[in-house]
Amino acid sequence: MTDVVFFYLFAATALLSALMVVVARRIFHSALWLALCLLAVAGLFGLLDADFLAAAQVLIYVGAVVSLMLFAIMLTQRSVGGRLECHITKHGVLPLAGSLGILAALIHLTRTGFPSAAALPSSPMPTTIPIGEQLLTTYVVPFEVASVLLVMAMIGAIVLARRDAGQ
Amino acid sequence: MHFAQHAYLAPAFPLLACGLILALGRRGPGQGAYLAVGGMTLSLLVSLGVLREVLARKGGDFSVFWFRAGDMQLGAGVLADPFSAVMLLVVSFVGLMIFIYSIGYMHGDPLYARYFAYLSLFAAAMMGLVVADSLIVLYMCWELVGLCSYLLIGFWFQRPAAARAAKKAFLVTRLGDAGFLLGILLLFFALGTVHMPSLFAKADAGVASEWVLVAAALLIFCGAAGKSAQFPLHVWLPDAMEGPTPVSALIHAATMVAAGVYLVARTFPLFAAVPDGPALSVVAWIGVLTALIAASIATVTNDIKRVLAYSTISQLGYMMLGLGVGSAVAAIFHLTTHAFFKALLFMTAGSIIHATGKQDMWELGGLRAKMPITFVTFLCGAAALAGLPPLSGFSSKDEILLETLHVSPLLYGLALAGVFLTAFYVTRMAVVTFLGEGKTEAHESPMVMTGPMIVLAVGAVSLGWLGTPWAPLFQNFLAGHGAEHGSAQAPNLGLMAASVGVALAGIALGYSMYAKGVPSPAALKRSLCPLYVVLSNKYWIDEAYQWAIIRPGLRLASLFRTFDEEAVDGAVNGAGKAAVGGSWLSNAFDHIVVDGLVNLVGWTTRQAGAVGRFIQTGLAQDYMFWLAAGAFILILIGWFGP
Amino acid sequence: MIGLQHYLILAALLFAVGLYGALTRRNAIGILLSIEIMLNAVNINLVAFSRYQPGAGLGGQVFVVFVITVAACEAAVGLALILCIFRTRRTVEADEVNLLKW
Repeated sequence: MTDVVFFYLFAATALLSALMVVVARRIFHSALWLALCLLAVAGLFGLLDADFLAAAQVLIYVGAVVSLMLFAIMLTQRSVGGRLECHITKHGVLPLAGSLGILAALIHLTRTGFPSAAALPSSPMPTTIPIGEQLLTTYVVPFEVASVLLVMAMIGAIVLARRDAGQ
Repeated sequence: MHFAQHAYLAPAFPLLACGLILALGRRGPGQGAYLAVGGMTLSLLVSLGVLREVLARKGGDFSVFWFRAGDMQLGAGVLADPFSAVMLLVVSFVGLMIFIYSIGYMHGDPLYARYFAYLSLFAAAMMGLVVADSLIVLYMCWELVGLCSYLLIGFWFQRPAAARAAKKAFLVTRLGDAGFLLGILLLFFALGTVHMPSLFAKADAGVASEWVLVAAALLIFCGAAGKSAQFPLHVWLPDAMEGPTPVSALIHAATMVAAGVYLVARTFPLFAAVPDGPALSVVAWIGVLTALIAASIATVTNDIKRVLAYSTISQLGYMMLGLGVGSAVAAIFHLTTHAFFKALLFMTAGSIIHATGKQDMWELGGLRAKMPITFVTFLCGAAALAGLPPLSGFSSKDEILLETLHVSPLLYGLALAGVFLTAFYVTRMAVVTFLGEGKTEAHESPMVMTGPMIVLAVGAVSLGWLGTPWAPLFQNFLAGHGAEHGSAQAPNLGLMAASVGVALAGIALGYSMYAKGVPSPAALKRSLCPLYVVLSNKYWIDEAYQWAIIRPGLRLASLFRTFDEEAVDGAVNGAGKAAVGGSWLSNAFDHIVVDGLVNLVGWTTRQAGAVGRFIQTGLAQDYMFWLAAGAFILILIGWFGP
Repeated sequence: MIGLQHYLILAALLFAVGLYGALTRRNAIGILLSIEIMLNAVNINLVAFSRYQPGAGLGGQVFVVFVITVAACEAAVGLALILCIFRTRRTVEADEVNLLKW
């Protein structure tokens, strides 16, 4: 019972805050709404017995990524006040149609051939250790590649964001 | 030395002389004249040798194998019998006289050496014709003689009249020669040989049908008619007078024109093989017609050489008449005497021309005093021509008249009329040219010219004694050839008186008209105007030929030329144009279609690009939209697709 | 009870929302935020499958680790790029950065 309640709570939060991200006028507010959305997603991870991921989500996404976004937002504010978003875009109907189409397609997909809602009776186990084991055994190559990717991204970001000498 | 067996030497020597003259040219002895004369002299010696042997009855046919083609074997050889012996002698002797005469006449001509080369070639060909025993060899020499006639008539080729006359002579005789060749071929296919003795033996034996023999005889007569200028192929001889006078004397008086008569005499067995056949009648009638027509035209002709030309045609007609009535002997006899006196007459004409430069008798006159030798020799020839006894012409002509009377009184009457005309026109020529007032400057010709004239005059006067009715030595000699050639008859004094009387009448009329003016020629001309017009236009025979044959022929030729130019060349050009057009078409196709297609491809690409580039807005979100759209489509494909 | 479909439908909705935002936000950082939403939707999907599929193991969750890693990198580099663009063009609006227009 509590599962149902918490699920709908977290789901509504996520959806509504995602919508606010998209329609918020000020970009700063969007970032804040994103943080809320990500927190809700972390909650959903918890419901799904993914404890490590829930923690990682909060730490990395909400903690680092959103902060990064906030920094970037602050660094790219115009000296004169930025323009306010208008949620009716130059493209008009098209993006809405596109999104709705994708939505419809995806929902249709869910109706077909997936096992019914049998909740698993297994008791939740902590997943941190198994994930770590998996990372270093079965998925060691992607793990290493991901490390390299992180290094490259870091270096790249530093290089790109660095002020040049003559600037 | 067996001359008869080596009778081929007679033509061989002049042939050798011709070759040497052509090789040495003007550097030769006497510029070639002495070589020619030397060749002829040797021929004369050979001829004398042949005659001696034939007299001793050691003549005959000497034939050697020539070539074989399949089953056919052709031989070539010499036939030494009385006919050929006599002809050889005539040709070589008269020829020699004319050769010597030419040294004087052609003196100073730039092509002197070539003249003697042609003359020698002619002599060789003529003698070859005489001694040939095979019709093929005879035909070869026949053609060669025709060629030499062409070369010599047109000797002064820069003169257009001479060139035209040479062409005319060649073409007209060619017509006759075509018939001759057909006759030879007919005989060959019917009797299988061209060797004359064998041919005659087979004909007599009746191997071939009658019509073959008649047809062959008539065809051979075609050739004879062409060469001997019988009606209607006589038109070339008067024009042939464009050539040098010695040429006229030798070729167109004494020898070549006599070749036709000789041919008929040679092939006489063919003509006589069909008794009562048409062949001999045709020969006789054409002969007498020719004699009359030519003699009539001669009475109004003014050029002295042309008078002699018509006279020659007329006398040849008499020879043909003699053959036609069955007496080859009489014909050959007349041929011999005619050779002497006609050559002589031409020589005198040449002497006049050489001295005065004029040929029209009305421009001449009174030459009796200025050119006495010429005058006397002329008289000898003229009297012989007219047929006055005891000159040679009388004996031979009377022989023919005698034979004619035995066959047909009608023919005899016509022949007698011809005698009258002959006497008349020769008297006219003599009177107008030699008597009366002198109208032009003249001097006697040099000895080199008058010498041969005198020699021939002696012959013209005396040869008759060889064949008088009381002592027909000549006829008997010739008749030894075969009994069917007619034999001498008993002398018919009445006949002789008649012919002499007619001749004297003609002379008298001529003398009185032209020397005394009674009746006046002008008055006679006016009163007989239509007759005069007909005669002076030569019966319009030349014009008839021009209208009926030459102009249509030329028109046909120009038609062919037009066809060739328009149709054939047109077709060729058309093919060329078609090829050009085809290539233009291909070019156009290449430009329009092929290049067009290529350009179309490029244009399509560019147009597609021009339309498609509008997607590149530069905005990342538009690209993202397209991404989403693509993903959607992929989902749909996964949904609905296979 | 809450079944797999619930999570899947939720993830689809979140993805659509994120897509809509990516296509319509003018601010470039806004686009990045929307992309983060899309990625999170994917993560929810992965974890849900990992949880509801018997025998799937923890493969889904490991995948999510990687997705988070990559998203972080991408956010870092993307923001660095936006900073560059802001420095040269003094703008962060997506529709003003269209030099590659035809």
